[in-house]
Amino acid sequence: MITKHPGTGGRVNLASVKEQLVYEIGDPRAYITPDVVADFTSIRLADDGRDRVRITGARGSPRPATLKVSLNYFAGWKAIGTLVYCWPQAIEKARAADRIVRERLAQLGLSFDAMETEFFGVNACHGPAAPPVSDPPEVELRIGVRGSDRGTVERFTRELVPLVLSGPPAATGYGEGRPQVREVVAYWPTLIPREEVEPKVEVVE
Amino acid sequence: MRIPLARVAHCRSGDKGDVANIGVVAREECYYSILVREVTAERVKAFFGDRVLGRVDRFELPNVGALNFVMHEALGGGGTVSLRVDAQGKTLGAALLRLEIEADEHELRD
Repeated sequence: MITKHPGTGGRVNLASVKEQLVYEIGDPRAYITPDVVADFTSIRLADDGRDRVRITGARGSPRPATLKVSLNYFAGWKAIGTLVYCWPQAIEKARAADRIVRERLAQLGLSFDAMETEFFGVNACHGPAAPPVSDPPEVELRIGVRGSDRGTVERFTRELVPLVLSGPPAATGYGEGRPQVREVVAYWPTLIPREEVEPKVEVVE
Repeated sequence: MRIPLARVAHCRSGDKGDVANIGVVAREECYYSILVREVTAERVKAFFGDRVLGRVDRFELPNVGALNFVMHEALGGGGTVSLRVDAQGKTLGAALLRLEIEADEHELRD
């Protein structure tokens, strides 16, 4: 039974339980946990009154021979800078600023492992799936770079603020100054044989 | 008639590294067959264009009336590596609600 304490807000119903069931999963027939491989396609859900959903029929297969390890490793440096452009022609101004930054970086002979531009208010969340926007009151330009050399990423951070006075007109939103250069700690999920891990529990008073 | 996916389904999305998934849940049991017919892996891949570089797998959960789409190389490297604002793919499910699908009048309850 999935339920919750009364008076705590929220809602447990078929829709919310189904959304949770499909949240961040891969193959629903084999949801791997350390104790069992669950088959989410075997589950039956039933509405059992307010904030109560009954789950029956759950099946699975034995636990896997391996355990998941979350490894983290150093993966270079990144910086993300933003500038805000307003109406009129906010999108055109933000796009022009992006072109200028990219041309400047090319002239400086700087290259990056990744460079990504997003336009907040236009396509930052949904990319090409966003419907066209015409003539918005404001757009935030967001440019991010990532590379293995800290100095190169640092150089990029000096190319945004000059645009305020020498780029498309009425740029703002630069109060924080240069973007911060941050170390990238990347995530590498992998597997190890279960026998290699010896569980030990210590209670510290 | 053409309708947005939002009329017959709700979505939840998230990440595992550079892999994003979207769970598409039928609003009514009888809408599940519309989802199976209309929302193919190919359509989802095309919908997101160059945002999803890898393959899209579709898994079926007929017991709860849901489809799960697993999209590879979908988050610009994912997690801390990604330069995107939505590095965890939290907004991709909402994006998919705009997908236009075909449904007959008699298939729809309202």
